Amino acid sequence: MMGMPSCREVTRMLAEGELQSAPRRVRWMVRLHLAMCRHCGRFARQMSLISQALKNMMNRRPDELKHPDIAQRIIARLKHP
Amino acid sequence: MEKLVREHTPALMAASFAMGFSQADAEELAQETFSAFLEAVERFESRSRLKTYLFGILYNKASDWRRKRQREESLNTVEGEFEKRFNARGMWANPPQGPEDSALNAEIQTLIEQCAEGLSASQRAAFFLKEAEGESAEAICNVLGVSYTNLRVLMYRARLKLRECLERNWEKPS
Repeated sequence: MMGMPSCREVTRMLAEGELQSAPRRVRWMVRLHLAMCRHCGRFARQMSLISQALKNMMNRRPDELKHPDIAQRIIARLKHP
Repeated sequence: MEKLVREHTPALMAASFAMGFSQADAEELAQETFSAFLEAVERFESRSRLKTYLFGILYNKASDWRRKRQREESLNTVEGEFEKRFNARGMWANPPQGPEDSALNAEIQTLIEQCAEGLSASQRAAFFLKEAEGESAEAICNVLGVSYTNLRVLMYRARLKLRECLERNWEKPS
């Protein structure tokens, strides 16, 4: 990428979620693009919403998962298949 | 062995849930994972993290189950549809619609969770390992048996799919 990235390139980098590992110059160009392009800005905010929602969802562990009975049942079946 | 099972069952169950399995299936998958681990315990290299190693076994078992139950949906469609949103110069021809919000609210959270049901097992597993377990990209690649490039494509398609679904189902607040 030589000059300002296109909308297609910006959305690709945002959706891959690996922008933080891109060279500093690329990150800076993307930030500049986002400041000027409202459509990509909306896309970026939506990527962030998706990321936050998935984080909440994946970290939710219902209490029943921690119930000692589950591990106990598994241990019993491993001992006596 | 009992300590191992007690310590790792909740995380394995959570991983199976994240991949869309029921509680009963999750329990059976966890059991099969421990069983496979105990049969081949000598192959475990102590330099790999035990939890990551167990996730690898679980993921392979889960994939076998999925293959038996259903064929994974082709994911190339979402990428192709997204490409059509740009003109030849790579600028938006059909700009994104959907929420403008910066902050997540309960309505959007629910919507995204419903959309996540449409993700494949490998996409869900990758998000679980990244978001809940904080695993590195390298560890996720090892568990899923994919290259770093493949992982990027997998996450890219997953996020595009979620965004398209969010846009489709989102109603502007009146």
